[in-house]
Amino acid sequence: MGAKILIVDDLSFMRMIQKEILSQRGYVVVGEASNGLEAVEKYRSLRPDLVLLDITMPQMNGLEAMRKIFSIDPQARVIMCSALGQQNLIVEAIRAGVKDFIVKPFKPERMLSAIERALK
Amino acid sequence: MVRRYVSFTLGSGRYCVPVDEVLQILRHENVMEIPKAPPFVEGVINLRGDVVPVVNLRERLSVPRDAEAKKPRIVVTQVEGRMYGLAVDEVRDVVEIDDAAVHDDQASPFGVRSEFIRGIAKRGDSLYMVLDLPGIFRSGG
Amino acid sequence: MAVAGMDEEKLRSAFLEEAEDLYGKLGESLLSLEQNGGGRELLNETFRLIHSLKSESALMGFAKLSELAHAMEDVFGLARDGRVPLDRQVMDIMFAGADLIGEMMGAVSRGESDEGVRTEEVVRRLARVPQQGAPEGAPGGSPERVPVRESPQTPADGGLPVLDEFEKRQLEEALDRGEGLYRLAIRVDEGEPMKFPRVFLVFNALEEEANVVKAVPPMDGEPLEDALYGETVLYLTTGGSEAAVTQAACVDQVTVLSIERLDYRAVLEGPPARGGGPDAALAGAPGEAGAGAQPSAEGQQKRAGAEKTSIRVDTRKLDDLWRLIAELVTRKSRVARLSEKMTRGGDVHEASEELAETFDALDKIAGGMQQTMVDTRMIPIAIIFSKFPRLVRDLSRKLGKSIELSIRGEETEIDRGIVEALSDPLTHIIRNSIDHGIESPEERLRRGKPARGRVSIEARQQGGNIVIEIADDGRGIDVARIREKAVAEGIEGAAAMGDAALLELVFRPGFSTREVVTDLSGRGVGMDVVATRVRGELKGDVVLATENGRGTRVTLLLPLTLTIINALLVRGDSQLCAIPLTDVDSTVKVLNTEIRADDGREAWVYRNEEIPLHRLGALFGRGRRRAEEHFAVILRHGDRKGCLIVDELIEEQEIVIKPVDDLLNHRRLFSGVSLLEDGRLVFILDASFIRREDF
Repeated sequence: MGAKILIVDDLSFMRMIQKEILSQRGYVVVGEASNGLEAVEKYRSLRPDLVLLDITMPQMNGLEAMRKIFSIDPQARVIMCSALGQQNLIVEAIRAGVKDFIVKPFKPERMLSAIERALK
Repeated sequence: MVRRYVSFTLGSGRYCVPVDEVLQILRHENVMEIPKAPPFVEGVINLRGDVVPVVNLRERLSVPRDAEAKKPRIVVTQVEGRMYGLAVDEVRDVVEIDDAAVHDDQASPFGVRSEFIRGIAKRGDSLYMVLDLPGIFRSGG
Repeated sequence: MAVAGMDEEKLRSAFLEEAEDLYGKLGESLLSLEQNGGGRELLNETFRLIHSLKSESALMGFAKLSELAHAMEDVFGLARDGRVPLDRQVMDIMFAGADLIGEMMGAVSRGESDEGVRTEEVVRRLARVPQQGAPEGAPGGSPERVPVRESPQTPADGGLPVLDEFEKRQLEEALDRGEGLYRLAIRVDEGEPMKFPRVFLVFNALEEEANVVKAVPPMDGEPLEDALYGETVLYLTTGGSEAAVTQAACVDQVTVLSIERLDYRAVLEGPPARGGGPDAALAGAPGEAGAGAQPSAEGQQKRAGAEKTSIRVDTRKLDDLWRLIAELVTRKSRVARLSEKMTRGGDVHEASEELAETFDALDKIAGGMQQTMVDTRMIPIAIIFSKFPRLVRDLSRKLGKSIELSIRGEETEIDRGIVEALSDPLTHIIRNSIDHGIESPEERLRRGKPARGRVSIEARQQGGNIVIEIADDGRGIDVARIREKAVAEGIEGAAAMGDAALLELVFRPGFSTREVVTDLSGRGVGMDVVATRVRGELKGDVVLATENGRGTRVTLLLPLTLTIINALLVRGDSQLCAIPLTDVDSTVKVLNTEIRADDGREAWVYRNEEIPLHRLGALFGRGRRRAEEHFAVILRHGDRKGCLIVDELIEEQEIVIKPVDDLLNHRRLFSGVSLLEDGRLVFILDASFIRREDF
C-alpha cells in the first residue's frame, strides 16, 4: 500500500478512471502521461514503483516508451495495457521485461491483482 | 461513364481527383523543408521510408488565403508511378461525377491556369474543379 | 460500471470531450479507408479508434453504444487480419454504424441516454459479415488447423513428448550437465482473453531458471489459435529445484495443474517424430520450424483468408543468415557480460577495449545480414527470360519467319520488385524485333543474309546497373526516313538533328503512333510506353542503336534498387548533405585570406593551385557565415576539382540512396536523397555541378 504509480494512456478518460480505482485502494498516483515521450520523462523525474503503460499511443508508442524506461532503470516494474489482438506486441513487451499485461476493457479487480503481484 | 472522385476544399473552392489516383490521406504534419525549392513546394514527408514531395495546392493554384484551414490534410497521390503529396485545407467526401458533366472548355474561375485543371463539373449547387495531377506535379513552372 | 464516488457530471463531460474527438477521427479514417482499401497503419489506427470508443462507452454504462462499437470492432479486427475484405458492402455498414454512433453521442451530449437510437439492424448486419467474408465459410475459424479438442495431457503416447532430433540432442546435453527433466502442465483462467501471452509470461520466467525444450502447443514460431493455449504443457530441463520451477510459473491468471519429474531414458527412447522433421504431433500444426530440420522456407503458414505474401528463398541464404544470427547471439551475451562487469566496478579500460572489439564484430555481422537480406530480394532475370523462347517460336510461326533466339546472362540477378514492371517492355521490344525487324526468309536471302534471322537477348551487371540488350540482325531503322517524317511533322530542328537525336524521337508519344510509323515499317510502335516504363517507373534509361539494313539494338540500363554508398555527411546551414566518398578528394580548412573573388566567382588559392570555390550554405539558399576560416571539402569529378565550403563536417556514413523528384531538384544539384535513422532528410550532392557554367 502507498506504492507510487505512474499512469500512461492517451485517453484522459481512461486515466481518470484508473486513478480513481488506484487511489481508492490506497496507491498513490504520482503522475500521468498521455504519450510515450511524456511517460519516459515522468519516469525519469518521479521514479515510481510501478508503471501502468498503454501499448497503443500516438507519438512514441508504449513499446518504445517501455524500452526507454528499461534503459533508464532495468529493474522498472511495468504492466502493459493492451487491446485484444496485439499479441505480438505483448510478447515483445514480455521479452523486454514487462511484469504482466492487462487486456482492455479490463475489470478493476484484474488490474488490482496484477499490480499487487507485480509489487511483491 | 460515372467516376468516383475524392473531393477537398481550398478556401471556398471545391476540387477533386479520381479515387484511383489517391493512395492515402494524412494529417498535415512533419513536413521537412527543402532548401531553394519553388514556393509551391512545401517540402517532403517521410512516408514509411519513402521521400514524398508535398505541393501546396493553394500556392500552386494561386488561390488567396481566406481563413485558417480547419483540418489541413496531405492527400498522397500516385502519378505516373511516383508518389506525391498535395496539401489541402480539408478533405470532404467521395463524389460520383459523370464524364459528360466535366467541361474543359470553360475559362476557369479565379484565373487558375488550365494546365492544372482537367475540367470543371457541376454537381447540384456546387462546382468541382477536377485537378490535373501530372500538370500540378510537373517541375519547371 | 460507474466508479463509486465520482462526480457524474464531470465524468460525462470528460467522456464526451474525448469521445467526440475519437468519433471525428473515426469518420476521417473510414473515408481514407474507402479510397485506400486498407494499409496496415490505417487499419490499426481505425481499430484503435473504435476500440477506444467501445471501452470508454462501456465504462460509462452506455450499453448500446458500446455494443455497436464492439460489433464494429470485431469486423475491423477481422479486416485487419485480412480475414474479411473491406469491400463496398462492408464499408457501407461501417459508415452506417458510424452515423448511429454520431446520433447516440448527440443524445448523450443533450443529457439523454443512448437507448433511444435503434442500433439492432446495423449490429445484425455487422454480425453477418464474417460469414460472408471468410472464404471457407468457417466464421472466424481457421480450417487449415486441426482443431484440437483433446487436452494435451492425455496424448496417445501416455504423457511423453514426441521429440525431433534437435530436441533430443538438447535433452542429451542437459542429461550430461546433470539437470533434471520436468513436465509442467499449466492452465490459463477462462476469463483471460489472451492466453498465449499469458503462457508466454510463464515461458519467459522459466527461461531464466531452465531450458524449455518443448511446448505443447508450441511456443516457437507463429502461435496457433489462442484458445489452444488454455492448457499448455512445457517440457523443461533445469539445474535448479522443482520449487524454483513452480515459482517461475507463478503468474497471475495461471494455475499449475501438475509438475512431475521425468526419466530421460523413457523420453529419449520414445517414438521418433513423424517424417524425421519437426512435428507438433499433438497439435498437428503445420509449419513449426525446429532448427534441426531443413525448413523449406516457403512460408506455408496460411491461415484461412489471411494473405501473407510469401516468397521462395534459396535455403543457402537462410543458412548464411542463421550463421550470422548465431554469431550475433554470442556477441550479444558478451556485451551483456561486459555491461554487468562494468556495473560492478570492473576495469573500465580493459572492458572498453573488449567493447570496441565486439562492436567491430557486430558491425561486420550487421553488414553481412544486410547484404544477405538484399540478396534474398534478388532473383535471376531468367524468370522473365524463360517465356521468350516460346514467344519467339509462336510468333515466328505465325508470321512465317525463321528465327533463332539466343539468351545470355539469365543468371544475372535483379530485384524482385522490378520484375513485373520490366516484363512488359522487354516482351514488347522482342515482339517488335520479330514483327518489324526481322525480314521474311525470302527477303533475307535476297539481301544476302542467312534465311534464319537472329534475335539475341543479354543481361549483365555493370557498375551499379543492370544492362539488358536486345539485338536483331533485321532490317534496321532508316534514320533518313525518321528525319523526313520529323520535318514533315514540323518537329523543331529536325533537319539539323544527328542520328542519336532522331532515334530518340522514336520514344516520343506522338511519333510512335501507328500511322506515322507505317513508313518505318511499324518499328517503334509502342516504344513510347516502353520509354515511360523504363525511364519513369524503373528510373533507368533506354537507348536505340541501329544500322540500316543490318540490324537494331535496344539497350536498357536499370539501376539496382538498393543502392548503398559510402558518403561524407556535411551540413550547410541547417540542411544535411551527403557527398559520395568517390567524389571526395580531401577535406581542408580554408582561410578567408586564401579566397579570391573575381567577377562574381570565387576561388581558393593554395600552393599555386586555384580551385573554384562554392559555399554549401549559399547553394541551399541561405546567407554566408562570417568567419576567418572555414571547413571545406575538395570535390573531384573527372579531371576537375571544386572546393566546397561547409558549415560542419559530420562523419562518414553508409546511406541508402533514394531517387529525388525533379520538383525538389530544379537546380539539378542532387543525385538523390536519403533518410537517416532519425528521419532527417539528407540530400546527396551531385558533384558534377562543378563542371557547369551556371555555378
